[in-house]
Amino acid sequence: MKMKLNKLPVKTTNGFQINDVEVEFNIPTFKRNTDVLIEGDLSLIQVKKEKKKGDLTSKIGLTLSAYENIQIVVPKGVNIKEPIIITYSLQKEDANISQIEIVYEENSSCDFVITTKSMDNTSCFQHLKEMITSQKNASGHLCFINQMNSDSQSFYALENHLYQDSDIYHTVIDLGGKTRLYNVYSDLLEEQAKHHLNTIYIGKEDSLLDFNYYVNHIGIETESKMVVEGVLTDTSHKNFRGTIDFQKGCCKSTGEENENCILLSDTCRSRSLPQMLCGEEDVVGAHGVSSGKVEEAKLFYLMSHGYSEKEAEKLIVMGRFLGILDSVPSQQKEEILSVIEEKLS
Amino acid sequence: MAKTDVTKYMDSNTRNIYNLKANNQNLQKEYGLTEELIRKLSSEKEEPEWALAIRLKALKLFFELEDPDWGPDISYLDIRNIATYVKPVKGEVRKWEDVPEDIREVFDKLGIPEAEKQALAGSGAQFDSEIVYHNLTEDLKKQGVIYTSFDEGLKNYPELVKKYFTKAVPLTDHKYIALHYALFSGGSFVYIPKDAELDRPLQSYFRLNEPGAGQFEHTLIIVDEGAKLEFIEGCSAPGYNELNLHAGCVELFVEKNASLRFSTIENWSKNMLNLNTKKCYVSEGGKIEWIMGSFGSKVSMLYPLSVLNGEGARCEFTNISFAGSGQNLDTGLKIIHNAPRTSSLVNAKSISKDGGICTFRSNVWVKKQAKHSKLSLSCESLMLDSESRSDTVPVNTLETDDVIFAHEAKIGKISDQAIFYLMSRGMTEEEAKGLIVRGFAEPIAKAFPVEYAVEMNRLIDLELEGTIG
Repeated sequence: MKMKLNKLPVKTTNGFQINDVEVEFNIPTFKRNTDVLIEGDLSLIQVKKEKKKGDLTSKIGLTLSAYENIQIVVPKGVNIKEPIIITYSLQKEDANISQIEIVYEENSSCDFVITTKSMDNTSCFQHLKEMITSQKNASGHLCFINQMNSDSQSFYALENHLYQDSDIYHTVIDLGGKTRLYNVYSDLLEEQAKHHLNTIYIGKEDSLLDFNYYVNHIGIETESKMVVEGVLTDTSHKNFRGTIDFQKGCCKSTGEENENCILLSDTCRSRSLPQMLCGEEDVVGAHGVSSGKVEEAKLFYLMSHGYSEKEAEKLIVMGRFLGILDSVPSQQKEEILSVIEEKLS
Repeated sequence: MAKTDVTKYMDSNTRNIYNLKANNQNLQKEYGLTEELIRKLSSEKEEPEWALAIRLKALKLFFELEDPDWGPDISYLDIRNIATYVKPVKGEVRKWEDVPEDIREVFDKLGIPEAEKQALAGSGAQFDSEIVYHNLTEDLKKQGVIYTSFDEGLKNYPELVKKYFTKAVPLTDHKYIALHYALFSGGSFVYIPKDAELDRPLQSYFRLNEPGAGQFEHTLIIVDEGAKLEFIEGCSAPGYNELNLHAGCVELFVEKNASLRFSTIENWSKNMLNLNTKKCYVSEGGKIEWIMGSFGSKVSMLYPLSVLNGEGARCEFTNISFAGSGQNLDTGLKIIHNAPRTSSLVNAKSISKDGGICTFRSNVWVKKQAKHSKLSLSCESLMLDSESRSDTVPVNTLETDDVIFAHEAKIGKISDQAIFYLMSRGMTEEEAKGLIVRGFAEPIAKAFPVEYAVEMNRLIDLELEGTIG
């Protein structure tokens, strides 16, 4: 079936072809429980895993019933130093329909690394939703790594509700899948709530990548920043919609978005809409977009030092990604780097 | 002889020469939108059959097409309440002295004849639905330059008009372009022959005087190979309590190595819906330069499209919008890079105050074949209070890797530090803010011909009057 998903929060003219994305897929039937592993120091947090029969609805526009729910509460004042690792392993045409709810209570902090991996070459499906509630002065870094195979379809939605002084840092590393849709919705509800969202993607073959990010500045002195770095090769297509919405009354807030896309073939397509909606005078909003092939001067420099064109290209792309990868825990970072290297080879 | 009663509209927000009203009683005024009216209109204008066929097809399309489901709300527009054709009884003339007195007095106050004497190669003036005056210097006529009303162009150069008419902007583009093609009346037809260079601009001025009326002028400009033209378009209307509608259309063709600078100062009254459509096709080595200032209207939806169709074609777009109380100015641009080594440079600014809404909406599309193209887009928005809105909606699509593309945008308020600095130099807060706003708009004002830069600055002063300086 065909569905129009990932709709823009405020519609623009249809001729611009950015209001939504049309995706063809079969609604999966549940076959077996996807393997999920939760690792790390769980002694200080509350973790509840259960199977739910109701509907899982996300802002992507999908509603699917029967899902796995993981509920995590980081209690008041608890600070966990090492990240909690959650890994979904998909195989045998799995349909992973899951939700992770994380509640940060006041003054708590905890980092999470959530990975979805294909364990074989079968075509898998995933609709994963994360719901984050961050109460006063809580903080955390959530890293989502998508390592699905090139036949899989992945729909990832994140909803943030951030209260006073909370500081949530989110990193999305997109490394695989035929169809990949991302939806991030953040409400910065109270004073000085902060959300940073970094993304890396690699589009290969005929994959479709569709990002729809929305940050809603409601509280005063709130801060948001989106940085998206990507590379497209072959006949891959990418849409990026980033919306910063300054609501009236969110004075002294700042919002910034930057999207850079390197195009490594003349058959790929990059489309972007860095949108700013502003109903408050006393804010600072900025966005920047740049696209094109790898800069010739950089290529020339590296090639004059003995690198082949392909190696030089790879090095430049890796360099662009490193700024974001530096925030990823070192164990995962090494693994990600080797996957990126392989994909760019 | 028409009774003359030119008075100033003394509303505090809009007190200026643009509110002069001509009390013209000798009018032919038609309401509604029927096939009968369309046939009558076409017959009175003595149009060829093919032009009537276009009108009738467009009429059908208007009733079939939907209102836009995005952007400003215009659902309250009821075409039955719009005077779709308003014609002064006296026709088009070549001397200002022959223009009816009441109409001439309005144009005199707007400085149109004076501008023609001093700085223009030719000028035209439209009052409601019809052109009332058109003139071109003799030396340009001898060079083969054609500058006439669109209706005259259709009558006197039917083959040339037919070749280009509706080719840039098709009837199916949107609902209100279909309305335009059903009712088109007035506007200008310009043909600049090969290698001709005009040292002075041509100017058409469009005035909508009647309350509740619509204006549907069509401007068709062809700049042939190697030729150069600067064309200035001015628009204004007095304020009324009734809704007025402007659904004009501009079709521009810039042929090989030709260049066209198209400047517009739009100062419609704040009861006007401005649903204008502009498109330009640029051939190899050609250049289109859009310079636009949008100050008036209740709602504007205007996104000029440039199609860079030939290798090395260029587009420069410079725009400023200023939305005050009750205004929703949804403006922007579209550019299609359709050939190698094309380039575009965009500099757009907006100012909103007193609850005004400014939206910058753009769509830039680099097609697969447009290798080695370069694009640079910049938009800046300034908000003068928190009652206003400023939105930026820029869509960019790249279908080739061999392109250099950069886009940046900023939204913000007037810097407190800058105000503090200027106040420490003896200015009041209002004077300091006024100076900063004028400085913000200055790079755009510089792009206009000098007389229009002065007009633009005067409009900014009027908008700021009683607000901040």
